Amino acid sequence: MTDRFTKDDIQHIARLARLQLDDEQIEQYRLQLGAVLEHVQMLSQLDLDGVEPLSHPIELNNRLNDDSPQASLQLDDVLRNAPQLEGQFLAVPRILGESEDA
Amino acid sequence: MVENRTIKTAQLKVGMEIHVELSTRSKMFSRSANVAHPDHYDATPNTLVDPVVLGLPGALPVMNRAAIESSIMVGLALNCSIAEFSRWDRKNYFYPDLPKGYQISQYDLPLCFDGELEFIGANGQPQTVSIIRAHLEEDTGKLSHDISCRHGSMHVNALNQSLIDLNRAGTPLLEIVTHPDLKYADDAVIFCQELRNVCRFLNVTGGIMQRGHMRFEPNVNVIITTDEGKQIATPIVEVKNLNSFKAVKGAIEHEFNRQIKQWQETGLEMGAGMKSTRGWDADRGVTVLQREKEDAHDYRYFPDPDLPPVVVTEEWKQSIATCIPELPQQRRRRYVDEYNLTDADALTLTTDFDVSNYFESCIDMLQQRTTSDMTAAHMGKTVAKLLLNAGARRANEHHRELHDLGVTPEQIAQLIEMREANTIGSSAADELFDLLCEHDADATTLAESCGLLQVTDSAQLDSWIAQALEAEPEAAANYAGGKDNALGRIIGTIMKLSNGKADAKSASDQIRRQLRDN
Repeated sequence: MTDRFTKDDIQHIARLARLQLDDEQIEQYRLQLGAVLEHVQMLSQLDLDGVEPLSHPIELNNRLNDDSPQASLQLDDVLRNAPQLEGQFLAVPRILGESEDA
Repeated sequence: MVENRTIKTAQLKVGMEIHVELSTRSKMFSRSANVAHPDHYDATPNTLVDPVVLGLPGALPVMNRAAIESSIMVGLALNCSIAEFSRWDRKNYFYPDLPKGYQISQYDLPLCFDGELEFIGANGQPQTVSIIRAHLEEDTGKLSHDISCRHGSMHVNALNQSLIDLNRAGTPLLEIVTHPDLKYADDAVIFCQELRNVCRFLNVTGGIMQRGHMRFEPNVNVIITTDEGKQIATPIVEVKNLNSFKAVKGAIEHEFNRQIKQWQETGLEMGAGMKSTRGWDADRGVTVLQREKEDAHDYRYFPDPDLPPVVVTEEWKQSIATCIPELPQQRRRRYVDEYNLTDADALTLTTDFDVSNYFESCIDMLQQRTTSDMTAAHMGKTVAKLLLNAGARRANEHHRELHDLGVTPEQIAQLIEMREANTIGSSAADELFDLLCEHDADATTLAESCGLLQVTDSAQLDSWIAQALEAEPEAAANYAGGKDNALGRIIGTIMKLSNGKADAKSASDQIRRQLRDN
């Protein structure tokens, strides 16, 4: 029951979320996430043969904006929460050798 | 046992992923202005940012109608099926250019799929590349690692930072993915150019390569046939983020050679986990293995709960289809059918959107101005001839594009009218073309002031003829004696004497009368 996740799983998930966990926390989350998964696992008891997957519970399509720009945030406000700035730019520790993704 | 790695043939195999930044006025999922729209190309960093872009709590994305319609338009132009139902998925990863922690994209239900684009290959033959899908997503912010342009070089290392501009974050981005149908680097380039051309004809992107409006990612491998007749596929390499055609060609060619060499040395073949990502080092002309983003393939896609799906009705699709203008391929066919151009000439005049529009403007201008009875076909043919001779020569000499020589369509029309009315000779017309590139004056005024107008005045002509006959007695005697081709020599002399201003036809008539008719 408590073995749905291994220590490695937790470390992997933590790395994806950029979280640094100590051994104690890893064990704590291993048990907690296991319990969450187990709870959600109840869904697998349902008979879903022939039921189409549903991504949105509300039947709503095509909520579209017209293509007309509105005011952007003030530069001061954009930069306000950044821990570090360099002129008008947000600054982060130097990242090299990785490509931009798109 | 050492394997025999002797190669009989090696065939390149390339598929393309192309990112196109759409030039809508506002962003994909919010209302900040779009940096890929011409009004905002040079916006100050971080001034096109709103709560959705920043991923502030409570901010909700809403789809931009124009971005979806532009994408459907591209899909239709590429003969794609348009999904009646498509939706948005979150591609999750942490990276500083993406404040939300995920990119909104389309995973298993893209907006457009199963298309094709025909183009004229490097060998002059039409060929077709199949389009697997074209899906819509949002672009990310821009990270700059090289800050030497903004800071003294002393600061670069001291700063030890990467800088983020979020203006580009949220720009609508259409990702087009092809089957690996391309077999030559040159064809891959032509395909990319044609695709750019189609997008520019549709007016869905600025298409400016230097601004990163289009970014190309070739997936390259090589099918090797060994001496023993065994077929081997090398591991696929994806070359990331190329933003020039030169880079596309260089990267593909380099991969072709590198992969063959790698196989000879290691024997590695295509297989699960073998795909790698490389970057292009333009200075050294080589591809370089890229350290992959940690867990790059663990994106944990799931449907975005914030955005309702997109349903495209037949009616909506049809209304978009009616907005599709004449595309390069159709224009090409029309030039051949209506103007009697050769396939090659029609291709030259349609491979660049600006050149093609310039050609069209010249014809329009001529049609508006002309009082002569030139047919539309004749006008098209004549303008084409002028642009592909005098224009191409000048463009070549000055390393410019045809539309960018400084001659207005009105000047072109004037020049052609002068030729049609025979007020200027062919070599003088060439000279006038060059002058028009440098002057704003109208063609007649310029020709007049530079003494290029054809002389049909008989007294002046008679004098030149007399001088020429005196200078070339042998040719004169031969012509008088029935040798038609001797005339060329006499006319040549007249043209030299008149600096090209003599009307060759009047001169010929006159000489015939003098030497033969009496």
